Amino acid sequence: MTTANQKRRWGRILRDGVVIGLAILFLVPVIWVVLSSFKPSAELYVLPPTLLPKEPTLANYQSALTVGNFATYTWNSFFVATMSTLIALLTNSMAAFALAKYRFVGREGLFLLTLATIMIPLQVIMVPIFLVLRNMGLTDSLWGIIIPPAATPTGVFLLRQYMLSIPDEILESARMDGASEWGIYWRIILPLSVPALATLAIFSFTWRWNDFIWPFIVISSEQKATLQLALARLVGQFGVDWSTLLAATVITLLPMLIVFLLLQRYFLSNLTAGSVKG
Amino acid sequence: MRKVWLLALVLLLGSLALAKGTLQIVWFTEAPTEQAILDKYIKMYEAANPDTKVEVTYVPFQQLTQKLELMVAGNTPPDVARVVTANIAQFEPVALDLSTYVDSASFLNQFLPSQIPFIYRKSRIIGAPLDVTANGLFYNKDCFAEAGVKAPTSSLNVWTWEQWREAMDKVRNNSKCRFALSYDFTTYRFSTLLYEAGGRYIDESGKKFVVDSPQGLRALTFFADLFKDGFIPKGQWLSNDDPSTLFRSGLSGMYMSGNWNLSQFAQIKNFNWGVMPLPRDKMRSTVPGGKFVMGFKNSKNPDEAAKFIQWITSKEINLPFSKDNMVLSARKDAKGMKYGQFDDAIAIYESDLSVTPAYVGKDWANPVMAQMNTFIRGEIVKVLLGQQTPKQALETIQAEGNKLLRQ
Amino acid sequence: MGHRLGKLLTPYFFVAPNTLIFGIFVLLPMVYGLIYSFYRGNFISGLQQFVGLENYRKLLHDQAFLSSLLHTLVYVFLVVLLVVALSLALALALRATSLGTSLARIGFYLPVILSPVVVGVAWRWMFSSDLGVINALLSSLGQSPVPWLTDINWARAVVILASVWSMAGFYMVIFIGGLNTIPAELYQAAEVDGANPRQQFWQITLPLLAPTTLLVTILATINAFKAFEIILVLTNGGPGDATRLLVQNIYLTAFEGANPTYASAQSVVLFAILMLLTLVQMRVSRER
Repeated sequence: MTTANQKRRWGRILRDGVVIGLAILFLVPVIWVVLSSFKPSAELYVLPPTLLPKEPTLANYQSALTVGNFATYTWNSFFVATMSTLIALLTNSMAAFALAKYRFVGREGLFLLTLATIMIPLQVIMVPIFLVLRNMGLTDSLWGIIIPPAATPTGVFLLRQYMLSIPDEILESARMDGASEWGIYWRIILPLSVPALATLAIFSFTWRWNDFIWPFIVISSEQKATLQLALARLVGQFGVDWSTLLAATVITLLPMLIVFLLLQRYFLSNLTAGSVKG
Repeated sequence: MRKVWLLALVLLLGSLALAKGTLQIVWFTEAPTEQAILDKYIKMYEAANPDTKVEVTYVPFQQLTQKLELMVAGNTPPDVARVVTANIAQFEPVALDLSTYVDSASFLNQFLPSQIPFIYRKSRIIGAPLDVTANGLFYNKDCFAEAGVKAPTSSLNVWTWEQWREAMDKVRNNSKCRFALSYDFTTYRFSTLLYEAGGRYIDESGKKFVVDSPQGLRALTFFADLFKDGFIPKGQWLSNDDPSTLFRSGLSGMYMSGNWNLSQFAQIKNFNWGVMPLPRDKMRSTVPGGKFVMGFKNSKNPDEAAKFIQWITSKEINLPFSKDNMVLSARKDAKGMKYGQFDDAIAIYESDLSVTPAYVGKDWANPVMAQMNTFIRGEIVKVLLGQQTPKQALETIQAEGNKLLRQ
Repeated sequence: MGHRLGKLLTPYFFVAPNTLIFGIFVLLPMVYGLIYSFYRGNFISGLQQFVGLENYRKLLHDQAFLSSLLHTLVYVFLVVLLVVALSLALALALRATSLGTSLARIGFYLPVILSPVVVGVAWRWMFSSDLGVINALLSSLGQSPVPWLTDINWARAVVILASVWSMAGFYMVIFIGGLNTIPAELYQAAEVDGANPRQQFWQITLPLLAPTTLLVTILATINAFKAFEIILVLTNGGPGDATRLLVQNIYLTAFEGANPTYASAQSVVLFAILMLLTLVQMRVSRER
């Protein structure tokens, strides 16, 4: 028995070592981005290419932080990503709940419609989108980049798929106890869906934080520009300010990394396992 | 949820209120240094015009056309935009006609003749030139010294194409510059060779493409050989490698680009660089271009736009503005202006411009060239990939150009 | 009566906010796009003339469109295949919770949060023909350099690998979520019955994971069809048009070619293909 346990423990350590090693290999490009952000620009392209900075410097970070109004851009990006994610969590989960747990006329149609909306890349319907936003007075407003992308079809899908695995019996017994439909959604479905909600929160925050297209269509004034709009300007007509771009990129990665670390324990916990059928 | 909508409504009304009395400018970014300079001048304008608030939208150059197209299609054009030659041709129908605000003859007379075809169309003035650009050749002085190559310094000892190739070979083999030549991935830059060989795109009548000529063939063959013989790194024209980065990193002996790089290259610290007159074949030539400011017919404040355009192209403003940005002013009275550290380089650009035939500018003022730009580049790439011969490429370009000219 | 009506309306109440938002901001623009596709027009003068199916007829002979469509189909097939296999493998390897797997999960997820520009730059650093690390390594080993991004076929391969790399973490997370809904008792019971890990995989994991696999396949297909930004930075569709996919072609047609209505026709075709593929995928999975 002890030897079997020991064998299992060694197996685990071996496995951990292997997966971490593979992850590091997988991340070589990212590691290069991070290390290169500390290189003076002359060192960025040398032959043969190097990984470690020879004369590490923080100058790139200094110039990144002084690109226009860095604080304003960061706040705008943060505000947009957070609000849009909150709205997405609410509206997507409501829709997913209805699609997963009710039978109603038009459900199939609505489902296909949801599917259909993921299929068209924004780039190709930019002009009509701009017209719609203009007619609603949402151009050059942060709400113009918060509300429209909040209805992420991918989010509806993820949540619906997850909610399908919540047994109907739980809902039925709650109804017997006199719970309202909203109560069922709010007190039963949402808590049980925490892993899926956490996953969606991570995705949604990342999408909105990295988004270039919506802000590009909607925003024109400097006070409302987001980080990604500001970063895109580092790519000039001829020539790119790579060192500043790399440093700025590393800075913009941090909030997403924090969100991921905060939320990952939720979607990785086996919260529902055992109480939920497959 | 209700709060969110309420907040949205408040913000919306707020932004509407803000829109009043503001002059909206779309400005594409070229060098990172430029934004601070423009901000300084905007403050000056606001100080001189206390009733006006200027709002600048900075757009990356790659997305400039798209942003303007969206705004024009949505009938919400900006008041003023900074554009390049291709845009001013494209937006001609919706451009603000400045001739209703100024005396045409004396307004146009301020600017260099080479820029007039771009802005004066059918007795309408559709914009004003900010600065003149010229293609030019940068070189890495350290690598040249190391390889024992002497660069021409004035119009008297300009290299021929053959001398140019020899120099490339020497620099590549005898210095730390492993790559002989970086070459911007644009039709403009290729065209330098076409004009030097004595060719041109469109004939004198403006109605026929004549690029499929012995001169055109010589230029394109010479260019394709530069890739084949490894002088220009293939990635620059085949896979989006950035030529400017390669030159700035000190690995490239020469760089075919243009005068707009000066302010950015001022920050190069790891090697010495210089500008040399463009090599010649049958003749000397560069390709003139420029940047312009234009207004739009249906913008919110056309009067204010016209005022701003006159202001930024006036002698008092445009000369110091050009100097700060290290670009060549498009005003006649800028002649002989001193730039400080780059006077030698600028003298070389001016000399290249002065020997350039007038028909070069006429080619590029033709709206069809704006449409042909990407097409021509695509056909050249097919030659580089070995998918067609230079002759076939020229025939295709000529056929497509004639088709567009007929429409 | 009022109560029953209320009950009937409940699901509509729940779907309303979401439907409203994407109805206005996505569906409506799509309908506009469909209408545009029957017109001739440009950005400056708007819609000029109703031309019926002319734009669609033109597509049949448009070499740029047809070749980008072909590139897209090959690209999507390979990317989906690789991404589903890789992300499932990662999820299986990392489903257990330990410090090592947690760290590894973060590692494999990281590329997802990089902006496309950075993915492009980082991959260029590795694969650039002239300045890339891999070619430098090859030549230090005495091998001749490979034209990774300047040869048509190599460039296609690199673009596919970069796409898979940047997306695998995303689907890994979805797969882990799916794996976590499989009750642990099933595995315990199987172990009691003496099933080995391989049997457990084929008889428990895979069948119970089917809904997640379907979801991932559909999402991966759709997202691969929409691939645009990474390729734009990595090769800009080159060499020549070897890696120019449909979305880039549509984008170029609309904005550089200033022909938005013809581009609309191309988007309608893209949409039709995607709809068809998704319906087939769903049908196939239902029959199984």
